[in-house]
Amino acid sequence: MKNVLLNKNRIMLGILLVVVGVILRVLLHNNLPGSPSIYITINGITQPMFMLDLFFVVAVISILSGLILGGYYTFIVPISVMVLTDLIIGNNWILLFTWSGFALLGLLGYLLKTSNSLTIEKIPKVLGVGVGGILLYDIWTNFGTWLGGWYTHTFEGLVLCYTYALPFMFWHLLSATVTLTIIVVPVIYLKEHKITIPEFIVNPFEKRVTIAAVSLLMLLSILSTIL
Amino acid sequence: MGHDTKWKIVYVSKLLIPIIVVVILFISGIYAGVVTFEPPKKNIEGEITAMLTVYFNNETIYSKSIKTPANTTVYDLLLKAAENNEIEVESTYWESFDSIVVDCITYNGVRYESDSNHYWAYYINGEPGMQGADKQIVEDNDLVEWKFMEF
Repeated sequence: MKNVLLNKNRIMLGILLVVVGVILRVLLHNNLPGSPSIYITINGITQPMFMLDLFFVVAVISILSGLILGGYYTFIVPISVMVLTDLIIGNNWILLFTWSGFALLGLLGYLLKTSNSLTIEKIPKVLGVGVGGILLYDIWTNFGTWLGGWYTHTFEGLVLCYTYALPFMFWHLLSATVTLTIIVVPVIYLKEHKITIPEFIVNPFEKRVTIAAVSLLMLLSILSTIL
Repeated sequence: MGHDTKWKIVYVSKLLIPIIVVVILFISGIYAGVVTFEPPKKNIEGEITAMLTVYFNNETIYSKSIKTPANTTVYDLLLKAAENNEIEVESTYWESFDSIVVDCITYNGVRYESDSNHYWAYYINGEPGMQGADKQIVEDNDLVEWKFMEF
């Protein structure tokens, strides 16, 4: 009975995360302010320092799904948010890279969960892994952009690709870190004081499937650009 | 210093030090001129002349020498050619790439539209474009070519 209730809680929380992610992404789409008047010159190219997008919404949802729910929800929640919102907003040809990137963020959240990092003492580690995950996401998705032929398949093309990605990366780091801090810190505090958020146990098989699913999605992303 | 106090200092440091490093890097960037608060100044004086050639296929080619203000982009040059209605241009802005992509160019009533087998690509002085057409600035006497490519 207790297992059923716990599973029900897990499903409900998963659905809640998906619904919040979809609503926020759809509502904020095209409603973000313009880039602030801060410019950065790197590699001879001057561009706005921050290009605003809604990465932080799905990124935090992804990390939370791994951190709190774990297991299959690690990739089901972020991919559900992306699929549902992409049906409304649309996406581009590197969608497999963005979807797998968010699944990767979920996986990082899950690895934090399995390393018992949901304590106040481990908040710096959680935020550090969050920042690392965001960097990994940007490296991965922009690699997909380069691999897909948007830039020439040379070292110079790769450098140009990452140079033009910098404004998005700076915004991702800023927005996601702030949002993560605002949301995850209270979540960890509530969990530590055993208020509201239950502990979801994930069996080893589910853990293996989760890692395999994210890896497969990343492999499919690369294959989609090559084939 | 008690163990608790030492732990608190280490804990707060782990949170504060990265923030301080980022702020220092930002301020250093301002002093080094890497970070600015004014958009890049464009040289709006003068005119340039560039040659625009659009290859629809091996037989159908549109070519025109265009005089245009300095700091015109490759995309702007194409739009300038479209001003006299000899060609029509359709494009889409891709937010994720912050770039415009040409979807279709119509010439002599025939639509040359990107699809699963074709796409539009530009070359500047014989070299493939390394950035979005709306980012690449055309210089005086540049040869800009748009080609309807097959995958």
